[in-house]
Amino acid sequence: MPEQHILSVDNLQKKYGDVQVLKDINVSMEPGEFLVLVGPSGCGKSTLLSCISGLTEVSSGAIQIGGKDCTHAEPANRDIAMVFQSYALFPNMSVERNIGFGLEVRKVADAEKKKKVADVADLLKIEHLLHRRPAELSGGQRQRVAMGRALVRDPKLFLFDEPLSNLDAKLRVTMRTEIKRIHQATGASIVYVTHDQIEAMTLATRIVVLKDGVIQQIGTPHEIYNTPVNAFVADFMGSPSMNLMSGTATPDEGRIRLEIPTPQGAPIELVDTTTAPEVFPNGPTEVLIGLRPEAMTDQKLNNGQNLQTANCLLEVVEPAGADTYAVVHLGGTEAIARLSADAPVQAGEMSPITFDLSKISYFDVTSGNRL
Amino acid sequence: MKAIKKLILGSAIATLAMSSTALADTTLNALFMSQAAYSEDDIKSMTDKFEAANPGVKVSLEFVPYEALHDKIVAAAGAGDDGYDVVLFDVIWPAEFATRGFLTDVTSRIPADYTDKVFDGAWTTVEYGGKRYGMPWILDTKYLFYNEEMLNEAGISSPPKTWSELADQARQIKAKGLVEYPLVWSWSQSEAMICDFTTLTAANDGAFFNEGQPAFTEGGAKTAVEFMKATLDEGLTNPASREYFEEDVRRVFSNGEAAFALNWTYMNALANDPAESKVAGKVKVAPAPGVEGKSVASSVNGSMGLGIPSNSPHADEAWAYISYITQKDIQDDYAKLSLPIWKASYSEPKVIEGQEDLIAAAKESISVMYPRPLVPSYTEVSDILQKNIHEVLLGQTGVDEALDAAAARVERIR
Amino acid sequence: MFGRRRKQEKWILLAPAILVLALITLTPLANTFWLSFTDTRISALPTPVRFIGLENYIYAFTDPEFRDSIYRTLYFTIVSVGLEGILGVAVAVLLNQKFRGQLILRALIILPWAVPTIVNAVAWRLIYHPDYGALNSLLFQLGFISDYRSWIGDPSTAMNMVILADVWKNFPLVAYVALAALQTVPGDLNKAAAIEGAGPWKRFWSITLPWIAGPLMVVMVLRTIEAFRVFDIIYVMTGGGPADSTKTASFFVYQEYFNYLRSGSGASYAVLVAGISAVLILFYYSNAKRQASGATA
Repeated sequence: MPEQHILSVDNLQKKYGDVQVLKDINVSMEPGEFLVLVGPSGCGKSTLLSCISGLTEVSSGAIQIGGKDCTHAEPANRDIAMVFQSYALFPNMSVERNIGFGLEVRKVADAEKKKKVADVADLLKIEHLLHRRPAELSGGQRQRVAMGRALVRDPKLFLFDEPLSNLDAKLRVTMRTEIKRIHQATGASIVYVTHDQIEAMTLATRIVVLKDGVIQQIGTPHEIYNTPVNAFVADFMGSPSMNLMSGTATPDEGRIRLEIPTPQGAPIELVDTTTAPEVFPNGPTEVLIGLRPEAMTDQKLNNGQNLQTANCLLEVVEPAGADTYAVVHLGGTEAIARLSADAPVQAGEMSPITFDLSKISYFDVTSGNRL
Repeated sequence: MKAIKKLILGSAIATLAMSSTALADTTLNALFMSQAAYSEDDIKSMTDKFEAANPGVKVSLEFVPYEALHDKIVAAAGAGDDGYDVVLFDVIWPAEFATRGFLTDVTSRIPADYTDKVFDGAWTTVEYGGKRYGMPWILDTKYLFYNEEMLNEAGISSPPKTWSELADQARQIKAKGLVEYPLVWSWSQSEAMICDFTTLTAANDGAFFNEGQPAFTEGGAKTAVEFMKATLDEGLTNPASREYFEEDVRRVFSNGEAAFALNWTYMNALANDPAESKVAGKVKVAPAPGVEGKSVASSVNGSMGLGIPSNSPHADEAWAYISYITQKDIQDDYAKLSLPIWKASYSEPKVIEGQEDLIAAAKESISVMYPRPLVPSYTEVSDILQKNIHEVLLGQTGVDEALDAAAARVERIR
Repeated sequence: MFGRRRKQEKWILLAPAILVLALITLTPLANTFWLSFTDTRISALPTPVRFIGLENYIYAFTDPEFRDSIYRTLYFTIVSVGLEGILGVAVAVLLNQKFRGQLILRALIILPWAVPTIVNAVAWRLIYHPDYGALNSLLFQLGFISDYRSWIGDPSTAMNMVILADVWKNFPLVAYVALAALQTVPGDLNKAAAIEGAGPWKRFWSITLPWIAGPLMVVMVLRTIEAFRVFDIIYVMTGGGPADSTKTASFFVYQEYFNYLRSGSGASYAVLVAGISAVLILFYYSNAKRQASGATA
């Protein structure tokens, strides 16, 4: 039911002069969801967040927050809170005053304000910092204060604009977990912008993938990962990304024969029994074959039919601790296979690679769309 | 060798040439006043004649407003050779300048027979302690200018002889609606106001000091201030007078916005000049009135003299310049904006012509010229009086209060 | 040992500059200070100079006119600098917005400050003229006054009119410094405050103003020091009148020296005025130090 959506964006367009930055954005969100907007630089995710917050005017379309039409409402009247990449803490105020600023503006009674701030500080484990100035805090502490300021007002919707981008890698991981924990503890509705697809995958309940102002796919992390809707999403999400190899697919009596060219001359031949042959109505078709690195390994799994082995030339071998990555030239691309950590392989060798085709994806060669 | 010789010869000749011109040509720095009395053009013209008659001496003229004259003379006293060689100074300053040695004693330079030929009032301008510190040059006092047409329209046939008569006539003119404020004065907080105050004090037979003690808290001086305030209260005096200097008085009168004005000699020619005045031809001049039983006419000694600063390196040339422009013939030629210091001039046709009533008035006024206190601390005394009288005119204090405060402050002068 | 030599080197190299500075500033300063304890007069004749201790200062402190002038000077300083601050910041906020002609306006705003003080004073005198001044004309035509009136000839308005002329000339300096500071305000701060519900006024008070307080304080204190010593604009506009209502403390220095030729007492007034300025400078210095040590990144 539309009334239950905590956020509803309908046909949103945003233009700057002649440049269309957001095209036909349609997305809605249930209360308690963690919606992540992800995409490369310039895809419009920050602009979309800015429109939702009200800091940017939309060119056309509608935004509803908590059932109320907020398309042209002032940010202050949308019952939202925002956490910025730069934290945007007020340098002349103490941490306590920073957190309580929204309450101060709304003229909340002192006693109540003090209590709410203390509660939030407790939740974020920053009670000992309440009397310090932002300049005296570390990056991680500032991040918590920024979140505290957002949490204390208990708004309908939280907006996060790349909040972890300014932190070092290790701290980023810690804070990511913090955010997830807080989300679970409070059940808040969160819209989160990031360019880091790992953050997206780990934090989101649903992901919105954007490119050039157009939504590519909206889905759960699982959906995005396993059934990307086009080659871009397949390539962008997941690390390392999905291998996209050009090859030929020929439907044959309920199965699909695949031929993937190799630089050595003889193509690899595989048989896909999991996908319906109706996907290729026109007989042999040039197609992009998508396989995740973990689908190309060296282990023999007890799965029977979907495992096929082919010999491939391993060009580069990268030991990475828990796994070994091998670069194999297939289908006109440098595909990456994930081998076990102690696989006895060396660069330049031909080695058997096992292909698991249960989660294979096919993409149209020209449009990139999923078939 | 040849080149060096030429160089030496060349520079020797150049040096000689330069030094000979330096020996021959003296440039005098002269400081004059830019308003009232002689106009800048007059002074330039007189100076050109002097330079023509004295080749080798050039005079560089500087004109400043009266208000800046005192400060410039004082400042230049410390300038050594680069100060002024000739300065115009006011009658109120010889006491101050003499006690400080700013001016050269020129008593010996003045020919003995000059004393009788020049008015006594003019000599006061340059004398202190029995010595003379310059030649009088501007013999000036304030006259009563009146708009004859306005007086006639109000039914008045002759100018007032006493100050109370003047007030009556002003009331008549105002009642007839001829002009809103018949009287205009220069009563800004400045020396100009003290000149008017002095005129009225003289008329009322008052005094500034009596044996060193302030005498202006009572008698004629007090009456003078009361009169000034009364004309304001009654609406006879233009209230803007409290911001005016002499030029403003001239402007207002020349615009036909006043019936009576007290001003220096120079206003006569300008108020009757159609290019400068809307009431040209209607302006008449009379001596400032007296007070019944006390005086027939009143006038303040507003003369000025030319002196030689003691630090001038060209005293002789400076004196030549001063003698030249103060001589009777020159003064007679330029008698339209400032009257001569020579008694005989007042019978000269070229002086009288075109300003008969001014000359007639001058004869009377000059004979009763009243001096302001001839004390070295006059500037401070004047400042104190200016401030306190101004407070009265602005309605901030009463006459007694103000004059008493002035007297008390005067006694504290160091 | 290397450090010792460098230190000595430093002083040797600085010595000529220090010597020149000392000659130019310290000598007249010391001379004035010495003068203030004597009864020296300006004179071309040799006059004996007597050491009179604090007599000049006692005279100054017991002179009600001097005390009044101190109050007047404080009034001028507080009102003038206050108005400059408010007007300057307001104009800076305006110029910080994006609108057509913004760049031209930014350039034009500096013009009043570029006008020499004397020229400014003379021009305003004309504007205030009781008979044909532009101010009278404007107010009369707009119906605010029923008759032309005197502005700087009226003791109740003279000081305020002089303040107006001074504020007009000096506010661009404050505006420029404030504008430069405003442009360093991070955009995110205002966005965050807006989302928290703060309206433009609250945002200005709680965030923008504290952010620019540092440089703003510097220019305000500099203006305060200058305003306390004001002389030239008042001398040209009113000469200290009417009835001494615009006579500030610096006038006493001028009067004693040039009008009454008492250099000893003139020096004492100069020392007093400079002394109060020095107190203000100390205040500025300690405040600036505090700003620097507690400054935010």
